[in-house]
Amino acid sequence: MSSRGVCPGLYRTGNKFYCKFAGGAEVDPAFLPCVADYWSCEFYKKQEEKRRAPQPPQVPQQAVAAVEIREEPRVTTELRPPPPPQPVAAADEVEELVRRAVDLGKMWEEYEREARAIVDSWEEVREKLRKDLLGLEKAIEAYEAEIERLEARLKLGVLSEKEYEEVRSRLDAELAQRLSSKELLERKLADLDRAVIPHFKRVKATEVKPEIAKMRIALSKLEQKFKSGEIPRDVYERLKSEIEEKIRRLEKIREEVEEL
Amino acid sequence: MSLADSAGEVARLFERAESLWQNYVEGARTAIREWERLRPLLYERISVLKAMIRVNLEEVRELSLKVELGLVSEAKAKRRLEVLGAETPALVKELGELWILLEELTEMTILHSRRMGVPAEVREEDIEAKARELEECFHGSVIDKETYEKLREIIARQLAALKSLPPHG
Repeated sequence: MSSRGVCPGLYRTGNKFYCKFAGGAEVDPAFLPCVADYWSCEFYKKQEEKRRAPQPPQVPQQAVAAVEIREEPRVTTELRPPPPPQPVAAADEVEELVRRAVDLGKMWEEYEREARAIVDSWEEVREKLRKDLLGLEKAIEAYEAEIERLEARLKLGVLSEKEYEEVRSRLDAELAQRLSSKELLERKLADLDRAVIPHFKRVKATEVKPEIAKMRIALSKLEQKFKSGEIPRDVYERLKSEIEEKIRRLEKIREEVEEL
Repeated sequence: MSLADSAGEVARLFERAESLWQNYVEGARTAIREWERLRPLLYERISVLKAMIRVNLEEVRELSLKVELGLVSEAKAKRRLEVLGAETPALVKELGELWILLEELTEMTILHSRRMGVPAEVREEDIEAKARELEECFHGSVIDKETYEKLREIIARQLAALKSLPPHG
């Protein structure tokens, strides 16, 4: 209703009032019908007559006016400071990526440390398993010798058939158990290699070749020591076979790494 | 006492001796049967212990060579020597105790088998082979001197028992 109470031609600049319909002349609304009675004002009436008269060219004028009206918010928009959310989001994203990259670095360091520890103890565990295997082989030999001895005693008539059968079935059961333990241990040894080799490839791939070279040097030194009589044949043969086995395993890893 | 009474008394003494003999034979056969059950377990453990000790001693001897060849670091060799140094004497002790038990029981078996007139579980050549193995084990430090000496005595007694008592028919 305020639009109907105040003349739309009235405007203010500072403390003074002006009339748009009177060509921008200064007015005093207290003595003129600008407020509440502006439709009786001659300037307003003339303006109204102009507006109501048929005005084909007014369409483009309205369009211009509309464009002008539309331009206002655009100007207003241009004056506002640029909205900050977009650059802030990009900075956060970079920070997040950096944080993730740092975390990955830490994870890799931790993995590498663990994997190296596993690879380093691999040889030791292998040796332990091999020792256990040797123990089982000796146990199997002992049971086989006992069975042989038992058969001899049966032939000599020291044992009755019944006594022989009883002892024999016990020996067979014990022997079967040792054979099964041996098989299990051999499988464990193979499993150990299968489990460790992928980590070896990741963390020690670059060290395989120098390691093979190191083994070959050791083998050559060993041969020299044997030829010069510094070490006995049994020691030489045992160490030679140990080094050669190691070289074979490393060569296999090297081939697999190179295939990747 | 009449002659007939005296003869009857002698006959009763023989019967009593026969009964005691039968009891002895029964007891000895039971002991030998039990020994047959236990022997493989004892023999197995002794075989394993001998192998373990040999492997440990070889490792000790070869560690310094491995360090020299660059196969093992000095620190690792030191750690391993500490482990082997603690483990091996315990194995040697266990082997000594079990081996002495095995030979003492074998000696008893020979003795009672011969008394009963059944073939002993070992032959002279078996005992001689055992004596050679004992020498090897002692010289290879698989057993200590005290065990070696005890075992030598027992093995000598086994051989004597085998030779002195002719088998019964």
